[in-house]
Amino acid sequence: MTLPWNIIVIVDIFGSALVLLMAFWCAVLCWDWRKQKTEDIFRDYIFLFTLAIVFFAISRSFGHLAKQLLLLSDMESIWQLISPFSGAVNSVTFVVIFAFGLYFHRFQRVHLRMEEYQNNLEEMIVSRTEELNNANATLENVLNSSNPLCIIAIDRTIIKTNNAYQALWPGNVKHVIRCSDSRPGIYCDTKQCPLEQVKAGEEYVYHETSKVVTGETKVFIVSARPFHDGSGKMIGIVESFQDISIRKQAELALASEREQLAVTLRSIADGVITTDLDGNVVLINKVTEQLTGWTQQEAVGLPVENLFNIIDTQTGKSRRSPVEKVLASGAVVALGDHTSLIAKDGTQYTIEDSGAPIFNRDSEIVGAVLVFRDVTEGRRIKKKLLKAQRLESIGVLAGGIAHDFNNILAAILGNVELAAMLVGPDAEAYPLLNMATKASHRAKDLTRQLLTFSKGGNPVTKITSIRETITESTDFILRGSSVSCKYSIPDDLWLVDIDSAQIGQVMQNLVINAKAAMPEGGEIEISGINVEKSESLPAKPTASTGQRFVAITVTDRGCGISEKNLETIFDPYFTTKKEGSGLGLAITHSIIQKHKGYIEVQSRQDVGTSFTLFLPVAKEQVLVVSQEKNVDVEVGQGMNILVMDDEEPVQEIIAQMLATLGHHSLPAANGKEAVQLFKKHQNHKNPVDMIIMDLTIPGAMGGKDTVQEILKIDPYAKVVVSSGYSNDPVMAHYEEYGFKAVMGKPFSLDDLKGVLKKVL
Amino acid sequence: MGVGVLTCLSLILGTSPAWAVQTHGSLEGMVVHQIGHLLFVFGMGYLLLRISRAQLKTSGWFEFRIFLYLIILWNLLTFSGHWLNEFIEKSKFIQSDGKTVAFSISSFADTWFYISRLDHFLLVPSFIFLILALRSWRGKK
Repeated sequence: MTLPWNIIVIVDIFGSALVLLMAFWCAVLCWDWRKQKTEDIFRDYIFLFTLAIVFFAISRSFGHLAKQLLLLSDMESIWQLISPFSGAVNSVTFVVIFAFGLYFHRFQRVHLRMEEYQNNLEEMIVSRTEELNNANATLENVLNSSNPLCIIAIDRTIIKTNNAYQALWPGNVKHVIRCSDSRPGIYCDTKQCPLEQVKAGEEYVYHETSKVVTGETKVFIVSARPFHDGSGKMIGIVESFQDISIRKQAELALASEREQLAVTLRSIADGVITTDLDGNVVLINKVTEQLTGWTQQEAVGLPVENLFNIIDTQTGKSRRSPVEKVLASGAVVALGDHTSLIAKDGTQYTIEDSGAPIFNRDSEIVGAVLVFRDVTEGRRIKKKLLKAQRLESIGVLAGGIAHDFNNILAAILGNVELAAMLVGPDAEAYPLLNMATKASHRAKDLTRQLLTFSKGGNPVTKITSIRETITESTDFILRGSSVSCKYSIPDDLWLVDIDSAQIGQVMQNLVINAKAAMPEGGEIEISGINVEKSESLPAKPTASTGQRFVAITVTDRGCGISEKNLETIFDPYFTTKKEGSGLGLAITHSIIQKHKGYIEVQSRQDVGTSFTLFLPVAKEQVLVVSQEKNVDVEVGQGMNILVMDDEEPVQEIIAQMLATLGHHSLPAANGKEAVQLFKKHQNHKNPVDMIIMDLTIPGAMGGKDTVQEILKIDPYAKVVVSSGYSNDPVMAHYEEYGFKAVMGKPFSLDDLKGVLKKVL
Repeated sequence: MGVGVLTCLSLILGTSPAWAVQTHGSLEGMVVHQIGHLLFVFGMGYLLLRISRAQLKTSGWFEFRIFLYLIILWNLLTFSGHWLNEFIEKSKFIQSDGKTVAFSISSFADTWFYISRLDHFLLVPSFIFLILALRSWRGKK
């Protein structure tokens, strides 16, 4: 059987071409597949294996196509020449393919292992990625739950911010933003930038004031720490911001409140000391500084006793600070009386104080506060006030007694004088009556002195040169004694508005005391100077700066007055003399006070005493020359004189004295009776020529009102005022009240005669 | 460089016995080629064995195994064709104008030889399966 050979040739040519095409296709497919996973060694193997197959297919197909084409082209010889090469190449590819076949399992094993590794690795990556994501989410949560925070690279660009930071300083961190753009500050890009400190690798905490997105300016505490990478290398800075604006405001408010409190405390007029629980000084105010001599800086932290050094004024013993008691008891504690504070320089202040505990919000004691005030001056004034009140009380008492006593004396003196006249100088009883008269006069002087305490003792002042008053009074006292007086009174001494009699009495009292202080004799110095009230002048509460005084100083070189007695020398009935009444200095003090002046005394025992009287200068420095003339004329007899007095003995003695002088008297017990009598006799053939009326009628119209009624009836009526209150203002200024003359009880027959002469 | 290439080509193409230690006749080339086919077969057989042992049954591996089977068959076919070619009488090839136009079949060997010359009927399908395998693998994620 014969089979056509061209079928073989056609199949060979087309088959080879087809194989060639498929070989290329395989190469392409395999390349694509391998590219999907280049790191897969098994794919590499399949790829190389396929390439070997492809190479085999190509070499074979080319060989077969070349053979067929050469044979068909009658070029068999060429084919014969190249056919060994074609076959050899094929053989080589077979060997290569064989080798690949043998190495399949090795590649596969490696592939599987790698796949296993890869799977493990992938699982690990998944696991780690999940862990990482969880950690990242945790970190994000933590980051966003915290205070504003940002991470800044070394070049100051912001790497990361949290939500809180974004809420304050919004900005897209994905774009390069420098921290100076996010939060501009005065130290940005300078060496003073706080972040420069962190570059050294240590934490740095600082305050920053920044404007936030709302436009508010807030204060932060910024904690800047180094930010390291995994290897520990510093790659940036972590900044955490704590908003302390509210705290800052509270601090400012607190500081302001403290300042206000401190200012208030320092402005308080009392001394204030606050201490802690240990009794150490926390704060003192200005008054405390002034009184103790310690400054706030010196005192703070010291035990309170160091600056609050107090003693018992009476015993001189040290007293314990009340702070200890306050802290122990938790109650308010007051200091006892007679407490003095000893200042740093030794000055002693009489103080009043109290201590109280300081409680905190939980009602726990956290310290004590002492409040005290200097009452030295107050106590002195209080003492003086008490003395003045005492003198006033005595004055009221004395005034009352003196009035009645004068009325009694008026009757005694009048009767004794009349009796003496009746018995005549040759009578045996005459000297006795004279002694009685003198005793009555002494009693009269005593009542006059007593009356200086009373309201009625107001001085009857007149602008006077005090020089004569001083010398007359002094010389009178010192006459015949071993004590002399040296005057140092300038001619230009200002005039004073004084009651010469009262000031004379003052001078007499002072000189008597000076003389008594020098029983062995000596010299008294009396000086007078013009002074103007100034700071250097001894204090007098009522004297104002610029007020002028005449200062009269009486100095002796006697035994002096003890310090203890100095406080009481002006008290009535206080005396160190055996025969002293104890009224001299009391009256002196009273008279000077009534002249709106004051008196100062300085004394040192066994050295001497110096009294200085400060008398206000007269507003008008012009002497008033008395126009009064002592008219020595005889008054006719038979005058009709109305006598108004509620005291019957007084009325009777005046009537007898008038009768002695040849006059008629009309008695009236009170003002009403006097007016009626005056009216009754007005149109009578014997009208009333003169009226002597008592100033004070208990329970009825007295002289002061009666004279007005009388003057209404007869404006030219001659009315004389008479009173036991010889120093009553009406008595001093009788003319202003419508009286023609004054006559103090008790009065003598001569006194009555003098008045009759003056009026009639 | 051109001189070097020409020298190499002349040595390869113009080999003469005097230049070789041992002569290699045309039969040697045949034997080598046949051994190559056998190695090919063994290699693919071994590969097939490994694939089976590895129980690679996922998509693509089936086509690949078909490819291996077919390529082994192709190798065996061509091996037998090459072997028979040495024994086929030249007279079997009917010439016309110096070209083979027909083949005279008188025995099973002649028939098997003739069939072996149609090896592309195995080779082309094998490549088709190789393409299918590669496509399958490429399509897998």
